Amino acid sequence: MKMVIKIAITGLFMLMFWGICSAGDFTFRKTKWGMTEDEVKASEPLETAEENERYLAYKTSVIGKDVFVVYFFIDNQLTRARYVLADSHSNKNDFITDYEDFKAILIKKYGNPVQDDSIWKNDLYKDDYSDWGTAISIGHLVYFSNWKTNDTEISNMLMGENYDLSCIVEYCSINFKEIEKKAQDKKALDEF
Amino acid sequence: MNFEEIIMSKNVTIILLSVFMLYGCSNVPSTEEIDGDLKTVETEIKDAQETVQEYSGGLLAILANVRLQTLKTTKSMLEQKKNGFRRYIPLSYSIDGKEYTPPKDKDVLLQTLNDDLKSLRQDLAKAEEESSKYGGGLLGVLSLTQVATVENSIAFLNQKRLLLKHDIPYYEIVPAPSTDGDPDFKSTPGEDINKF
Repeated sequence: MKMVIKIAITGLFMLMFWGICSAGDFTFRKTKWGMTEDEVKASEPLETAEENERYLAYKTSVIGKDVFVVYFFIDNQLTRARYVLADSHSNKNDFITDYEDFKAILIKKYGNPVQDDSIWKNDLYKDDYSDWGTAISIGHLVYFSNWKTNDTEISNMLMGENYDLSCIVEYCSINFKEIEKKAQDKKALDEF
Repeated sequence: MNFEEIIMSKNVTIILLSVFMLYGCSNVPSTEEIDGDLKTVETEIKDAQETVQEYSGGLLAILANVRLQTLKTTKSMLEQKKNGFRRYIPLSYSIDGKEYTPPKDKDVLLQTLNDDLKSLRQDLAKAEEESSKYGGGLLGVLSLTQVATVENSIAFLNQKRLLLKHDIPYYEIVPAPSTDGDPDFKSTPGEDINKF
């Protein structure tokens, strides 16, 4: 009888330990890959800004910046998530500061990036730093840095097109990559 | 004094009192100020109506109509106040359940409005002078637009002045609080690092 009680108590402690360890084991904010839309909604204390069967979007603020949080789903499974900067600046160079701020917090959490680079596709503004923001906005310059964990690829990007800049921090599930690719291929085929 | 004289003097007193009372009741309060202002507004309405008839459509017609409607509103509110006076109907205005009381610095505000109107009338004179240089064309239309815009500003400001002068509350259009449920950018509880 004593043996049974001992086993039961040990089992209970093991369950509690597992519960405590796994409670904070989130991938992005309070979510894990594969969660359903309803589960993601339940995890967010925010009001939904936009939603459909492919994504859920919220407005929030992180590290003092206004951002959209977007969760992407395939077959009602969370496969990808993003922070998209919603702030605007009259001086486009200020977006570089935003990019660096995001990079700094990602380094703090995930360590040094596996890739950290900026690429000049066109050198027109390269010699004048004050025009680098403009260079990004017209696609001449791109900033990016990447991190990798066991199940997630994280990318920090600053890019632009048609004088619009986008600063994005993206989280992508490694395990769901294949499913995402299949869904993309199917969508491409359906369009033909 | 004999009895007949006493009766006569009493009758005279009653008649005199009645005349006084009737005179008092028929004494309509003076609406001279409102009448004067109404006359000015009516003249401006006629002018605005002529301008509206000049244009069949387009921006100038819209601007002229805005001015006309503003003037008509001013006239209606002044007439309401005037009729209230004449018919002994005390008019009181309530805003959000609270009775409207004229601002304590009414005179200062009126002076400021008068100064602003004076400045706008100078702008109008300049705009009209500029407009008279063009017989037509794009520059002519642009200068007429400038005249119409200043005229509208005068109509708005004058409405504000007249309503303040006659203790009528001025209703301003204020943006309604957002009801579309569009959430703002709010931070969520917890440390920022845990959100990455």
